[in-house]
Amino acid sequence: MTDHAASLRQRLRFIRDRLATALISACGIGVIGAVLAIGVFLAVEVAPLFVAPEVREQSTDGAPLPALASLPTDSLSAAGEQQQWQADGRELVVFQRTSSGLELAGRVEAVPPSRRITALAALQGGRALLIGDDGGGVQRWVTLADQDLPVPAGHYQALGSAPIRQLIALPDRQALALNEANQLGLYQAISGLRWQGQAPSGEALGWDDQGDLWWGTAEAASRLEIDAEHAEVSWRSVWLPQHYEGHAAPQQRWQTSVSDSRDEPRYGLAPLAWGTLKAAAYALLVAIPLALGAAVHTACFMSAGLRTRIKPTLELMEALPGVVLGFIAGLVLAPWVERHLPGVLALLLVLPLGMLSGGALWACCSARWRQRLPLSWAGLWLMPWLALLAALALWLSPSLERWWFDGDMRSWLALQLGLDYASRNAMIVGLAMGLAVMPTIYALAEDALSGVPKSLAEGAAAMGATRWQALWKVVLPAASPGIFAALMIGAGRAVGETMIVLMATGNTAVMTASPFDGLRSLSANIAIELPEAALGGTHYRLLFLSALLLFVFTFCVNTLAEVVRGRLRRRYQRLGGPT
Amino acid sequence: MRRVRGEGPWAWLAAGSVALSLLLLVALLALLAGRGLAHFWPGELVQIELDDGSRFAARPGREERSAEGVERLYHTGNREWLGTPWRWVEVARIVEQRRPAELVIVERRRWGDFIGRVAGLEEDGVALDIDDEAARWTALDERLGRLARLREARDALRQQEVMPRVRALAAEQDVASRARLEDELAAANAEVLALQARMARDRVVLESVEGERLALPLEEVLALQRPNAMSLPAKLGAWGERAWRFLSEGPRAANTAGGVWPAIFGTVLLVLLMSLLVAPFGVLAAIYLNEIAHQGRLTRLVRISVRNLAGVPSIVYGVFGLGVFVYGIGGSLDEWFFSEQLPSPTFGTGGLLWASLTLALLTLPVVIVATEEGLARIPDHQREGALALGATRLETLRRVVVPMALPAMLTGMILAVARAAGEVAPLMLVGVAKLAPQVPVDGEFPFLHLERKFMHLGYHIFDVGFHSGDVEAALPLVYATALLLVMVILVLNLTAIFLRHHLKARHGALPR
Amino acid sequence: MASGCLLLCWLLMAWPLAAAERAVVGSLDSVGSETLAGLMLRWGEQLERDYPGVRLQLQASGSATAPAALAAGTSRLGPMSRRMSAAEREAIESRQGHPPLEIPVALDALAVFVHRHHPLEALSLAQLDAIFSDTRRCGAAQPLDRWQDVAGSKQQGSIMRHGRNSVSGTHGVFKRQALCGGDFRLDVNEHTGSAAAVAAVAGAPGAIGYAGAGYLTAGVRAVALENAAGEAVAPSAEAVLNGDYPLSRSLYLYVNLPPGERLPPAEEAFIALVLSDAGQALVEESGFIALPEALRRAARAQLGLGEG
Repeated sequence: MTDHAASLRQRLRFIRDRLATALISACGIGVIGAVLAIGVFLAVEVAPLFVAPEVREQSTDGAPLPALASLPTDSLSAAGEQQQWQADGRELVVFQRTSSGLELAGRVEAVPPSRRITALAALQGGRALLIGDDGGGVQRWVTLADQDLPVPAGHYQALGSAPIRQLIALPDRQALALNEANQLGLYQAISGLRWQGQAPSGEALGWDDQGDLWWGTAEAASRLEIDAEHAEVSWRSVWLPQHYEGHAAPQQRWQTSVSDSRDEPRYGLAPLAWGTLKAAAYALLVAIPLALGAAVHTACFMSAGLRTRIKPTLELMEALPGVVLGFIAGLVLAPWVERHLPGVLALLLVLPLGMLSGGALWACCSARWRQRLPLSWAGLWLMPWLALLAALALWLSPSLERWWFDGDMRSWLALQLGLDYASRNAMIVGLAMGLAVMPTIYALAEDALSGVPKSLAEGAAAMGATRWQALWKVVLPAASPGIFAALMIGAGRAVGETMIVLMATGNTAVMTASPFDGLRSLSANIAIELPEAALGGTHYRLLFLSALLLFVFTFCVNTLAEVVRGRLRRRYQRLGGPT
Repeated sequence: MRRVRGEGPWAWLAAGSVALSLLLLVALLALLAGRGLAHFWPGELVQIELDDGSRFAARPGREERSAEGVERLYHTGNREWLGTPWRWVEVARIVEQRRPAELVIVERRRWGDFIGRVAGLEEDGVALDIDDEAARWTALDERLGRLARLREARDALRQQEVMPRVRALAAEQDVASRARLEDELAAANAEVLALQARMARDRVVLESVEGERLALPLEEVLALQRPNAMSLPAKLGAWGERAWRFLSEGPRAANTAGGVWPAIFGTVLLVLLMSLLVAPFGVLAAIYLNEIAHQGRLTRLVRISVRNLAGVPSIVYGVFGLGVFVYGIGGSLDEWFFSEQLPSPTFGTGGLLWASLTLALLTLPVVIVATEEGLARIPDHQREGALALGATRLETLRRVVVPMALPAMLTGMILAVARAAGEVAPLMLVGVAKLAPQVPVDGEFPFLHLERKFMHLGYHIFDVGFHSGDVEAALPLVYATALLLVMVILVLNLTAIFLRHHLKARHGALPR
Repeated sequence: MASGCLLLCWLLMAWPLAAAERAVVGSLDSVGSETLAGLMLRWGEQLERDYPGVRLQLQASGSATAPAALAAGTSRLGPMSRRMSAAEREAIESRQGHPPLEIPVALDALAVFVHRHHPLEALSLAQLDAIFSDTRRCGAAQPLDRWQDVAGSKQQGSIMRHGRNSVSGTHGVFKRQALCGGDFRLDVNEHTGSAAAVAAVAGAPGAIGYAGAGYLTAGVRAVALENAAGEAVAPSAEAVLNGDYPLSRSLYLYVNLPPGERLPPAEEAFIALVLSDAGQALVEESGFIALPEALRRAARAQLGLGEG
């Protein structure tokens, strides 16, 4: 009886164990799956952007033809917002619309000598014109505010070689082109030819009240389904300069129009990617020297007692929220730096010199002082010295500005170097974000350096090397993969940081390298625009694409770092150091 | 004397880096603490006469040097007459500067601060005849005390009598009881209005230095100070009181004044919810990865991926939360259960639940990594010993492994909380609000409103600093809020460091 | 596992009780503009003092949310910082059977700010366009990059431009009215709030920026703008009211009211407060411009409210 009960209990225990294990596994796999699903989800949301557009004939099963709004009958003229265009052989005749009626503005040759214009259509908004010729060529011209005549904005891929018979403007700055060979092509103003195929029999009849185009003959008509929701986006249109309406030349632009559907949206991601990398680069420029210097000193020179205090303190900086750093950078540091620009730039010179002169002075001191202020405590006793020098540099900066830069450094910069000083600029971001990234790099680099087996450095010292020589020739090479990993992870953090960039820059989507110009990063752009973007629209999906880019970039960089660190750990184990 | 062999310039640059980093950290904290705490100090008021004979009273602020000379910013208050409560004055133009003890600064419910003199008191529109300055102050203090009591009674009446009836009325269908409730409500309303009428009895007559007069109902006065006449202990007391009000009150005047209580509440609630979500899942995932899963190539790959996710930018998690939780799950919930409220979304818009889920996802890798570290530190012979004594895997886990890894889990949780408390970017996408008039917890069923938007300290910094009407007035508030946030996070991190240290000491002693 | 159950419990708990009926005395719902959020809150505060049983529930995620909520009948009040478009109006009419009532509640001017030491007095709209835009659709011949190129300017140096980001209504209104629908230059700093833009202008002598006129601070000065008649007008309340100032807009409250019916008491009290002197004093306190008496009287007549 007791045996039976015991065995029953045993089995219950066993079953409970199995059940719990299964549950934990399910939970674990589920959680890990959910976390890993982030990338997949982003990719799924982005994918529709790159689905090839398609034009289909929707059979209506003999349903009666609805009342249709007719298409423009004259394919050789088109009406824009302020201009009226007429085709005349190879020339385009341009009329300006004025208060007293139409006024001839001029004529311009629009197609190559052997060709002639066979179709015209004004795109949505009336600030761009599509021109079709008798060789199947289709091109776009845009109007400029300060010129009478439109300017060419690029040839698209031709639709066959037969003459273009008709151009039908569609919403979203798309147009259908029909040629004499009955081929149909779907063009988008920015991304060009997106689809071509055989046209249904008959001709374009007109628009129904749903905004759909009907095609065919009066007896047998069908609806054309144009499946081109995100036709304005292609890899080329997102990354390369495009010729936008109202401008004389192709440009890289990110200017979405959330408030008004009349405006042409400009979806160039290149300035944002550039801004992201620029901000990260300037941040690393600040963070790397500081972090590596601090790591080397802490790992190799600092006394052990001090190290247990200093290291957590510096690591604590990592916990400073980005929003606090961003607020200080944007509302306090930026105006302050603008007023003390010469002083701040002088600091870049004064601080390193101050560290070196501190060292030089130390070497000249008597042995008693050197014992009292040892190198292993230099991290602390250099602080007042540096603070003193910094205060001196700032105090002198107005006089400096008067002597060297005629009293105004910013105008001096503009005149002598051609650099405009924007108050919310990459330098400010670099300083603030550098401070945010520094602890990450420092912690990892310090771990790598202090993980190098002591025997290596001791061996070098026994051979008569100074501590610095041992470090430079022995320890640093051994720890270099770890330091590389630290830099990678720091770069990943700098690329993704949002609040600092959002608050410390003017969010100007310009592509310059100057430290005194602003920038707009992918992450800040998402934070600004995503709450307002229409669900499922092109803008929305492009912002998801930005998020995917950030995800992929940081994931790759971190994986690289992780792999390198794993190798390093195994190498140290072989060398007999601590795990 | 033998020359000491130097370490070369690089060693000094390295030492300087440590010094510079520490210097920056100290400067940053000092800036936050100095400006944040100074905000509550009752600074003295000055009366200034300019070279053109005009006079004004103000609280002096920072100075700026420009080509025109040195300028000083003065907080003059009195926005309804001056247009803006700030004024830049060239220091060279100041002829005379005095500190009259009778200058007052009045914090008002509307139009910001008043700076000037108290000219008299009115009761029911009749001026009180008090000539003696001290007696007038006693009278004023008395009346302010009476007002505070009345206000308390009014608020209590509103909370306990009016609001329950309004809620009952909303739920009540029966005509008879509706009529009864409406009668009761009308009576309670009348009582509140009567109290408010009594509150409107007193008025204080204020006079600005320029000569403008204003009879301000005393109930509009939130605080009244004579900083020039205050002693140091009195100033300290006033400082403490203002600091307390900052922590315990809600924001006023479109976030440019008042306190941060709803933001503190929202932050704490958000972090609590997040911890409740992330703790079990993070720990289970870590146990699975370390104790149950087959330790092969795939597990190593998964482990690396989870580690990497800790480095993925927080805004990406925000985007994920918006797409999956808000639009995906929230949108479906709305369609299934709240279709009568559409198109006005219930769960299909950012809210507390989605924000805490997003943060939980964001901090999951932190918890997993920390827990795994703790699990990996437990020597295998501990597990083997338990198994050899006949324990099942579950019992080994429960009795041996998890208790030993508990400090590591705690460390992970605290690190997660510290990270979550400072994150703002993802919250901007999934439900933080610039001003949520209703906190997500109240007396209405179901008491915790997960679909509501909430306020957050970090977002409050961003919002007040960049979106409020007057940056000059908002900056001190932002400093104080930032200081609060940094303090909270530092304390959390220090706890984590302490725990980790404790953990290392404990397991360092274990035989391997 | 446990937390999964908890989560489910919360979900169940958190279902707001279905709003059993709409005719609750004392509960007001408003869905709409963010610009007006602060003002709505101040009105709500005042209303709660006058009528202790009244509560205002405010959702302020943008003007575009107001028409949707009005059409669905989830709120009777829809504050908007721009006029409702024809399509939005039609949508409401088709769902509700009648168009919403449009009540102007305040006026707002967009001001162009420069640093307080900046000597510039006035700008024409073409100059403004040449400073902020690179399409120059308002007719300027040359872009303006430096202050010495701006006619009548004593300031030297390059121009630093500040403004709002593209999701804000202010950005849209400025683009439409000051840039004639053209493009902003790429180097116009896009701040996330008007106050930040004004603060940036206050920090730099060579800067210029636009924001609502109510964001004026001691550090900046509003520039007079030349209107169609060629006279330079400063953004004052009078200039906006008589239409002289070229950059202005109205702020609206849209009300769902079937013709011939009276509003429920809470709504009626709210609108009466908004159009009263006390309500308009709150408008001025918030930095907007109060409505002239004539417009208020017309609005009251439209709603069948008594005077005052």
